[in-house]
Amino acid sequence: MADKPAPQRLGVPGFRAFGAMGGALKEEEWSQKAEDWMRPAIDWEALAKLPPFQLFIWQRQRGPQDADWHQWARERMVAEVQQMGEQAFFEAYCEWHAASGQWLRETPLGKLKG
Amino acid sequence: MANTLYDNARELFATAKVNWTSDTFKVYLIDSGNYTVNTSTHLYLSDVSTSARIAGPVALSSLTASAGACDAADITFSSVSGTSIEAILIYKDTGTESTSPLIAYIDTATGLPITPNGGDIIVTWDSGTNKIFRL
Repeated sequence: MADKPAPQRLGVPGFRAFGAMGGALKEEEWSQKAEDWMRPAIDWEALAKLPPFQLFIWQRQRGPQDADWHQWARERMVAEVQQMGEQAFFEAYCEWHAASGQWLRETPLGKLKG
Repeated sequence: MANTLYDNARELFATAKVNWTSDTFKVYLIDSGNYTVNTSTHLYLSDVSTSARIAGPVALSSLTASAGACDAADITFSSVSGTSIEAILIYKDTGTESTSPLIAYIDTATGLPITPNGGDIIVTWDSGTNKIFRL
């Protein structure tokens, strides 16, 4: 009897149901974003566990559909950081996070604003 | 399109006709090639063609709504086959398709689109601030 294929996985990033989608960032949001950018050390391990970050990675390069998203995001993250540099890659993620408009009350690092 | 609630669901939440923690909610995996979503005009599960429903329904369990963040346990669709899946649909199940309100349409997720391979498909909800969605 043939083995059952390995499970495939979907990782759903949560969204704000009644929040405005997209649009310009308010001054305090830019401040928060800048604060995130300027952190002396980025907790990449924590970042790789965040569904928005995993989605960001997925949209840059699709992985195998039976992937462990956390592990796959870690691997891609390492490759991207080596290629782009830590700051440039993190800024790209921050830009994508802001442009998506789906997490307006969260920082790119997954923390609540304000 | 971004992940969103159906307009009718917004109204139902606003008028207390949907209760996330006590009503029954179920999930389908959707082939958008056979269903063109319209969150403004589509109201009930009967608006979604059966040919678009590739897998499901699977009921949500362990429903919570702390701070307006609607959450549930991760779900597994068993032994899924069929055409490619581009979206996840959440609806409130009344037992009758023509009265089961559509709640959320999710087409942005890690792993989408996905082509079923006959194995299980596991849907993992966000464990962060918004959970599945936040009111």
